[in-house]
Amino acid sequence: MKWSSGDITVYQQSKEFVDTAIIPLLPVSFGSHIRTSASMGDYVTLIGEETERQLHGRLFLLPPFTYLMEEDSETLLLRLHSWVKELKDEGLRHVYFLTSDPEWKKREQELGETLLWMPVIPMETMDADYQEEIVKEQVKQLFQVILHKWQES
Amino acid sequence: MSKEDISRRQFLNYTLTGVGGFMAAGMLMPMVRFAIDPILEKGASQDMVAVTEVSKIGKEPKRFNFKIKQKDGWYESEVTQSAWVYKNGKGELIALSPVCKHLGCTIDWNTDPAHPNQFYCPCHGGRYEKDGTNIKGTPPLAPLDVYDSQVKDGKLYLGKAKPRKGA
Repeated sequence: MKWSSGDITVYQQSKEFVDTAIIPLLPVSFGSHIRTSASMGDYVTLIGEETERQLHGRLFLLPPFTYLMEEDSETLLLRLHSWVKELKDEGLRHVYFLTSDPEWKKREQELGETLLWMPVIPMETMDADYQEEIVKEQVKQLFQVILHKWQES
Repeated sequence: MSKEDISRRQFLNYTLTGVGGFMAAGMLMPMVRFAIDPILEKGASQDMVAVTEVSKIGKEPKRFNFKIKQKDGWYESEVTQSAWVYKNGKGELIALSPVCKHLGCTIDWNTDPAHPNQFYCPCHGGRYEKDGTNIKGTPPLAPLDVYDSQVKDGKLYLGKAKPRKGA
């Protein structure tokens, strides 16, 4: 499901079947990292959408959590924790953060939930077919993680 | 000239209103038509798309991707779709939609070790027979959609996925 009014209708009718949420974490920066942060945005969005397409019925892809690269990470963590709390209260037992930003990898322990960190692959030079192939291949790897967690529970 | 119910003034008024009305309609109709044109054509049937060569299709369902142009009012985009295609016992080609009829996850062939040779949905454990029939006791309530298909010059063309009646 996506955060769109159409999908929300379905969600409300079949809440008991949806127990997983993905929050993309997208950094924004206008400094020297402007290109990297844009690439991260492209890549994480593509990965998120493909995952959502395949697991539409059980997984909720939330709107991205955006922040400035220079922002204080303690505040960000606090905000993320309140997102997680909201989602858990809603019955979404599995919460994943999807990002390419290496800063999160360093603070993985503090996040409290599973971090899906995919090192960014710059997509702008590839043609559309190749892009799709790469994204499909990456998503397949992500599946292993998500499906395994499902089987455990 | 005994019964003159209409005066000259009235006659001219009627004629002018009539002619004016036609002219206004003549000008407005095309404008309205242009404005709503994409909406009128939304339901137009989707073209068949070449998916693969028939020789590549075997008895085991195989996944093929193809691109269709999706038109949504004014907005046109290319969407990738996939189909599970195989040859059944009678040699007919069957193309099934990979979208689970339960909540729309993407199904896969033969991935559940406990139930081989079935379509399996990883989300809620929905299962389907090879012909797409949903298996009772699993969440889906309808069989998988079947694509309109056509073979031309050794190539398989697929159209729209159509729903079937539940088992």
